[in-house]
Amino acid sequence: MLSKFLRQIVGLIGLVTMLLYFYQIVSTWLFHAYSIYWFAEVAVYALTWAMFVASADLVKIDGHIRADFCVSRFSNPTQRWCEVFNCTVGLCFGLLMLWYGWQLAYDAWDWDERSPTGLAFPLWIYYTAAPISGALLTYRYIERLWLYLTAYDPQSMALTSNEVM
Amino acid sequence: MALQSFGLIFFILLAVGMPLYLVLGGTAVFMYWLNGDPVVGVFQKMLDGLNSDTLLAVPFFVMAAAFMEKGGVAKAMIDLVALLVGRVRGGMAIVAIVACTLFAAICGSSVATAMAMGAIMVPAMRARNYPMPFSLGILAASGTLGILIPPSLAMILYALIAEESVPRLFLAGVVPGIMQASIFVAYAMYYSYRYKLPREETQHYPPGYRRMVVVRALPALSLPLIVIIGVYGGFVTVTEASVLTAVTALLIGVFFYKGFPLRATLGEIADAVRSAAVITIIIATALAFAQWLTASGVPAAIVSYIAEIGLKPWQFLMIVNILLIIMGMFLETVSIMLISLPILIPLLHPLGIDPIHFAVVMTINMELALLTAPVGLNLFVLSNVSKTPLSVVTKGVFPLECLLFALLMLVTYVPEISLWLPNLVYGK
Repeated sequence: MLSKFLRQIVGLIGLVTMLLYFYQIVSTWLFHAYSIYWFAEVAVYALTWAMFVASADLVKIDGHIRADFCVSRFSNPTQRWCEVFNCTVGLCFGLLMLWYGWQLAYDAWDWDERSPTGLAFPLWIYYTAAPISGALLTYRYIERLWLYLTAYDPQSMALTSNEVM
Repeated sequence: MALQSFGLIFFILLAVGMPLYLVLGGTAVFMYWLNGDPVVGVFQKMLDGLNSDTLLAVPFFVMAAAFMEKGGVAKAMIDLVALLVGRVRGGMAIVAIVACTLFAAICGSSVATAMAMGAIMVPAMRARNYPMPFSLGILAASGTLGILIPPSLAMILYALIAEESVPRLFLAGVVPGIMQASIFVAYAMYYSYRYKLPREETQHYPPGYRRMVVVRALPALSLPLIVIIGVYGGFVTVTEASVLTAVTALLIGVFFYKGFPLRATLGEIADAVRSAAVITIIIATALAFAQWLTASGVPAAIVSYIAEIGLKPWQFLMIVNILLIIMGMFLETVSIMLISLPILIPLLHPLGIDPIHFAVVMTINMELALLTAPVGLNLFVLSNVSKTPLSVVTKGVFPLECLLFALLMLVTYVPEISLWLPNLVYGK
């Protein structure tokens, strides 16, 4: 449910960003008077925000790149405890990201920190990517940790790696 | 003490199969804490480092690759190339190489290139009784051109870490890319004559068929022009070119080739953003990690060590090539680049090695990594597409890997191959 919702949000941000950026490029060439210069800057913030949040949700489908050459040769119980350790580190990292990300976003809001451009974009909006991503990471790692501790199934939970390049 | 701790933690975390972003981020957090630096700096650097216009080219090129893969662009290109060069002995192998080269010119991903081409070319080559190891080897190796011929996701990653110009890097990959394709074509021709692979029969096409194939391929062929004319004509930035490529690929995929319906667009974009997010989060943590690494003086210590032992640039490049080939056996490309670049980049200037030249050396090493068992991803892609054991692909790819290694040596020790074109266009 949460993943489906996030997928739609991320897809929507991707689509809107692509169209806004496209409009800016075309308007700069063809009808300069209607060009809106700050679309590109907003596109950077929006898409980076979306990628930050999407990356946290990838924990659910084990979509992150890992070097599994060594660990895939371990026995199933060893693999299981390695993953429990990985989830614990992930959980700590998520909590730190939530805490420090919150501090960054709050300070940016408190000091009215803005981008050094004509738009003067309020940076706290962009910085919320860190606490939101941290909260999601924490939630996903608790979920995964629970799964590995209580319902480990070697058939379906074997380690995999993926790549996009 | 800090250095030993860093080395120990880093490799233990990698070995236990921890996701790479967590290895880099976790190490950075631990080292900041150990040095008494404020840990908030890690997350500040992650957010600020990603606030970059260049980075946006990654999701947009990934979107473009997804639209092209699903949109039927590959088939149009293959039909055109088959019409032009398909009738020589072993013509389908040459079609595969040339089509991969063309697809690489619109898609920055090797895996996407191998997947798109493999899905169409494997059945075609199988139907003509080409030996499977040869066919799969050609497709796996030619697919790697995706990251050498511009646009290239690997080059964009390199530019982000090394703070280099993306258009210059793209140009540096052109000549080595054409050389690689030519070497593979020569090998395919030699193999075809030696093992007497069948010629394509002279076909009597219905009237208007040739024209239809050419017209159908024109929209696909317009895609590389966006990058070539747009970026090098000075009309758009690399990020703008990536947006234009993505929008054009979407429009021709939906309305011209009708590869997927318009309503599927949102899902395709969401998947592309998620794919890009896998790289982005690693870049973010790698930037924080690189900041600590530079401040810790590790690169400076290596530079003084190199000066002390009197290591020459050619020796350094040889050692780096060997290390990258070994890493390529066990890690995939994004991991290798983002682990090694923060350490290697600061060493280039003191040794007098051009970072643009080094980018091409790095990229060819990444191509080898995609073909080297046990973690060569293009091997898995072709094995999966053809439903053939991995050993068959590995056997077929071996001669091409040797040729690619020869090209790597040539590019490593003749920097002009990479630098000639960027220097010609932009000056030294």
